This record gives sequence, C-alpha cells and structure tokens, in this order.
Amino acid sequence: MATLLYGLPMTGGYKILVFLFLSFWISTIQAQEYDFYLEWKGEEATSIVISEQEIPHLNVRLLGKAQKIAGSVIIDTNTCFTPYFPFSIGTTYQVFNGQKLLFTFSPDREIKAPEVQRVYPLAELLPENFLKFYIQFDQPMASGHVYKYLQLLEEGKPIENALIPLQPELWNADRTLLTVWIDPGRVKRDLGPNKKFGAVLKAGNTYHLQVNKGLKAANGSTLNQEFVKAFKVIKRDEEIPGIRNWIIHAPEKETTNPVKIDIKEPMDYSTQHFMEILNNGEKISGKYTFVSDTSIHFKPENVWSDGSYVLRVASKAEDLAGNNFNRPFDRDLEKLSKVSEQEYYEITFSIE
Amino acid sequence: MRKKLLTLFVGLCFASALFAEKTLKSGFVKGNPEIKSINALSFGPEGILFVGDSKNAMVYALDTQDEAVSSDKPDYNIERFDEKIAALMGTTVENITINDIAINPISKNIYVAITHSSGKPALLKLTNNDNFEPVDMTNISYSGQALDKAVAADAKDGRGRSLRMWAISDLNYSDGQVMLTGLSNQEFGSTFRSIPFPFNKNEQMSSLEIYHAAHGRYETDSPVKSFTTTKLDGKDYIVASYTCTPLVVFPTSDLKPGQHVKGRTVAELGNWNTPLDMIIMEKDNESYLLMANSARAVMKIKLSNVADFNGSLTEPVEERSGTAGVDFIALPFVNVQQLEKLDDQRFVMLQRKADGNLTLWTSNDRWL
Repeated sequence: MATLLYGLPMTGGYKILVFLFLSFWISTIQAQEYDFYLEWKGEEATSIVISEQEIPHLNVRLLGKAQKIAGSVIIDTNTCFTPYFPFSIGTTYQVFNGQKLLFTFSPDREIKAPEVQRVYPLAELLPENFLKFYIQFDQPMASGHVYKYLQLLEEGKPIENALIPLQPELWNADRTLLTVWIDPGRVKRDLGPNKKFGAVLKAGNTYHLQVNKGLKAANGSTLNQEFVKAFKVIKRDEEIPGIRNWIIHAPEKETTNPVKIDIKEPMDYSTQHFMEILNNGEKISGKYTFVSDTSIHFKPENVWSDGSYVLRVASKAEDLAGNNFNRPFDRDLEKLSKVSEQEYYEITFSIE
Repeated sequence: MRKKLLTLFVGLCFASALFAEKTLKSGFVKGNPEIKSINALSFGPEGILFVGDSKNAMVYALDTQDEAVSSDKPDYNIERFDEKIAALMGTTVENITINDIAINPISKNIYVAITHSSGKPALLKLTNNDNFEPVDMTNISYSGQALDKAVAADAKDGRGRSLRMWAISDLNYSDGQVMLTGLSNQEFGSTFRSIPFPFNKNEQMSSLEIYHAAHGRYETDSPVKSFTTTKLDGKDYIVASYTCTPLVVFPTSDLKPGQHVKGRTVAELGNWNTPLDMIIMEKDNESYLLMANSARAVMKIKLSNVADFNGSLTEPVEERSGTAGVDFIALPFVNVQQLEKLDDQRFVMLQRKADGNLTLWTSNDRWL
C-alpha cells in the first residue's frame, strides 16, 4: 500500500514556475490523499486500485497526454482501473476524476534485464550458403523492432542488407527464440543480388553476428550487454543431407538415460523438432536436447523397455544451407534429378 | 381443436425455418475466442472480419456488427497515427507494433491490429475519423478454424505448445475461401492455405507448397509475403509476391490439396526489398496492382500486362537492384507500410512521412 501525492508535471520556463507555485498553493488548500496500490501479475502491473474511494469518472492518462487510456473501471468500495495493456514500468501516469487531476503514479519494480544465451548454429565454421540463425534469449522479448538491433559484420565491417527484416518477426510461441534469415535473395543462385554481388558470406572470411544493446524484453527492460557470435566461412554446401550415416548410441533398458544421436553433418537447430522415436508404431514421449549441431539427445519420460525402436526424421529437416532430405535449397534445373516425395526417413535401433 | 393448433404451430415453425435468413454467420457462437495474436486482417461480406492468429494456429471470423452502409465517407487523414494509438493504450510507440489494417467494405470503418511489447494483441476500430476504440474480443459472435492438423501434431514444448511457428503474413477472403500465407520459423518453404467459408470442421483445407522457377537455371521454394486475388482474361488468379520480390501469378484452379504449385514469375521488382502489402484498383476498365515495399516506392502494375506476359522470366536480372518482366510505374509514395482499398475510387495508405510522422491518409484514382 502506498500513499500519494498530488502533483502536476510541467515543462519549461517562467510561466511554468508560476504555474507550479499556483498548483502547490491550490494543493495545500484542496489536498486530498489517495491510498492506492497496483496489482501485479508477475512483472506486469495489471490494475490500479484506489482504496475506499468511489471515483465516478475515473480515467487514467499518460503524463502530459489528453487521451484517456483504454481499459475498464470497477467501482465498489474501491475504484479499480484495469488498462487494456499492462502499465509500463518506469512510465508516469496521471489519474483523473473527469477532468480533475487526482494524483500521479509510476509503476516500479525490479525487473531482470534480458540476456542472449546462445546463437544456433553452435558451429564456428559455416558454409557460404548458410541460411539462418536462431537467437536464444533467457526470457520473453518484445517483438516488432528487433532488426534495429541486429548486425552482421564481415572482417569487422557491417554488411548492408545482409539480414532480411521480415515482418512478422519469426519468434517461437513464448518469444524466447528468434529465427533470423540471411537475405535469401543473395543466397539463391542467379537471383539479381546473388548474380551481381555473390553470396553475403565468402569462404575464408571471418564474420560476427552482433545483437546490440537496447533490444527490449517483454517486461520493458533492455539488453545491456552486447552479444557477439563469431564464425568463419567455408565452401558452399549443395549436397542434400541423409541419415544413413547417422550413429545411434542406445541406452540400457530400465533406465531413462538419453538415446544419443550422432549426426555426421551439422544440421539446423530445428532438426530436433522433426524427429520422432517410435516403438511398435507408438510415439515415445520425452525431451530432445540440441547438444551441438552434430549431436541430439532424447531423454524419455518413462524408462526404456527392451525392443526395437525407430528414429523417424521428417524430410523437411534442413542442414545449415537449407538443403533438406528431399531436395537441395536451390535446384539446378539442368542437372535436376526427380525430387523425392518421401515424407520421412528412418533408422532402426535396439535397446537391450 | 388441439390438433389444429398443433398443426398450425408446426406449420409456423416450418415457415419460419423456411424464411429464416440464412447468413454466413449462421454457425457463429457468442463468447470469447481467446485470440492470442492478430497477424493479419481481411474483411469478408456481412461485416465479417477474418483474423489470422499465428499463436493459436487459427483463423477466426468475427461478427463486427458494423453493417451500416456508408457511401460518403470523408477522406481519412490521421497524423501521428502510432502516437495516438500508443496514448490510447497507455504506452509509447516503441512498445506498439501495427500488424495490419483492414477497411470494412460496408461501413468503410478502419480496423487496426496491434501488438503490445508484452505480446498481447488488440483490435482497434477507428471511429469519427480520429478516435480509436478497442473492439471487445472477449464477448463476440465468432467462428474459428484450426489451420493445420500437421502443425498441431508437431513437436511440443514442456507446456504443450508447438515448437514450430507459422507466422501468418497475409490473409484474404475471396469468393467463399479464406486464403492465408505465412512464414515458418524453422523451414524455408512456402505453404499457402485455402479454407472454405463458412468454416466446416469436417472439411479439409487445401495446403499447397509453392515454388517458382524463374531465374535462369535454378528453382527454389520461397515464402509468399503478400498476395491478392484477381481475374486475368476472365480466369481467377492469385498474384503473390515473394520475400525477395519476384511477382508470381498462378491460377486459383491450380490450388489442389497436397499439390506443388509452380508460380509463373512475371516480374522481378528490384532487390534488397521486401513486399509489404498489395491491393487492386480499377479505372476505365483497367485493373491495377498497387504494391507497397520495404525499400522502394509504391509500384503500379497494369494487370493486362501481367495477363499478356506469357511464360516466365528466364533471364536473370543483371543490374544492381535491377528489375525485369512486366513494366511498373513507381508512384511518388515511399515508406508506405499498409495499403487498403477504401472504395472504387480511393485507397488508404499508412505512410512514414519524411519528417518521421506516421500518417494514415487517403489517395485516389488520379494516380491510376
């Protein structure tokens, strides 16, 4: 519970000083204190409640704005205002009854600044036709303005138009993982920019993907430490991946130890989401861990029974250059063999 | 007597059922659709607003009950569009994203989809030319359709949410079909969905993989960013623009479930540019495609040129940011983020002006 304050913010000059003096003078005559508190849901201030006051024409505005904020008011013994969107931490709001200013408030709470945990792929050698990064944050981020804070540098110099600023931005459901594409127009052979300038990435050079300070989290805090992923570029990868040479290290039965899948070619982070492990046609529940671009672990929810299992991988799974199991990222029509329509590929393994 | 009354009652019931107005909203229910995101908007008939919700992997049809015909709507002209919305929503512009706008073809009222930095969406209705109000989506008459069983069957995280996201990038209603396109956060493909409306849960939607083979020797999948529907030589077509700006057409009749549709590339409209929005306007029996772009001015393309452009582009474009294929005219409107048709003569643009001011304003067919 907090007590407040009767105030009026003003800007600039002599007139304002006079106005402030008058406001103070009036406030000493009419001063009324308001007990209020903010209701919080996690890090969000969802409502303001003015205790034991019925305020018939309650409205809330941003400091200095005439616009009433959209939201709902409930009046019983208290008066409660719930804005459509939560109040922003650190922003000053004014509470009115009709046109009469009652008090100001500013939601305050210690909020954790976001951090970049890692960037996929984890590899430090990427092919010239490498296609997409995944940036993993430790908390939900704000969407809509992320490309202002991303930069790709070649030998220390920013490359213009290297990343494609897609709208909508490609976040996962809770906005902790962002997918960022290198401009596909420069990756695809024979498209205008690729023909003229070649790929964004050139074999032999060193690059840095930089996530700059200032990027906002959903809770309003900002990234206060820049994150840099360094990598070196190697030759183009035009081969479609395959699972024939993948090696499966099966755990022992009656344990929940992970099955370890060794992949011979670095694969895209999403590969784990295209995998299923089946026993007699039934999908096994559990969790995949992307240990590295060439190693994925699967830990089951229940202990393994002995028997024969199948690792099934959807053909949509891609390597680092966007080649999937059925077709390369861009098909050479002069050399084109028939594109496979197979939906998935399988490897069988036993648990004993 | 009782029998007669019963016969009369049954007869009345039958007659009322016979004459009851059968509308597209007949299957709607009132309640809270629990919309989690609003990525794209498009109006259908009867004041029905279609909403693409990526987070729920759903498309909703909302009854806006906004069916008062307006034939003389004044020009819209709203300066500081984003600041006004931010003030209404109790925050500042950097915490707001404007996802889409749509104009109700009956009332000519504008609806705006926004997202707050917290991830919460809102649908706003613009009234009196300068005043926004949120549409209550918690108690509304609606109907919904899940987008894809395949998405629902995908790998889930610990809270049961799909790990793959299909971010809806455009949505249009045409002739009993809701059509959507989107971008996946995991694979670089292009899937186009067409769903019959009214929604029927037993009815299968068409889901198509689209690619274009246009640039010299190579063909690739590529996501469609923006699209619209039109008639070319009396046949229904989809005009689509890919993330790297080739303009592609394909006949609507090619949309068959599970098929790979190959688009016919009719123009490469310059590189380092992403299409943002497109509409079709008509004047003097000619149809024109207007397209807004991330790094180029609004382009005007005569659709009869598209129809006359036979075959696909086969020669790659050589010049820096060069263009090829059907001709286009760059209109003097840069930094246009949204385009919407207001009526047969006018269209509305959301444009970031040179002074940084985001303005919603009305232009007309003198540019056609």
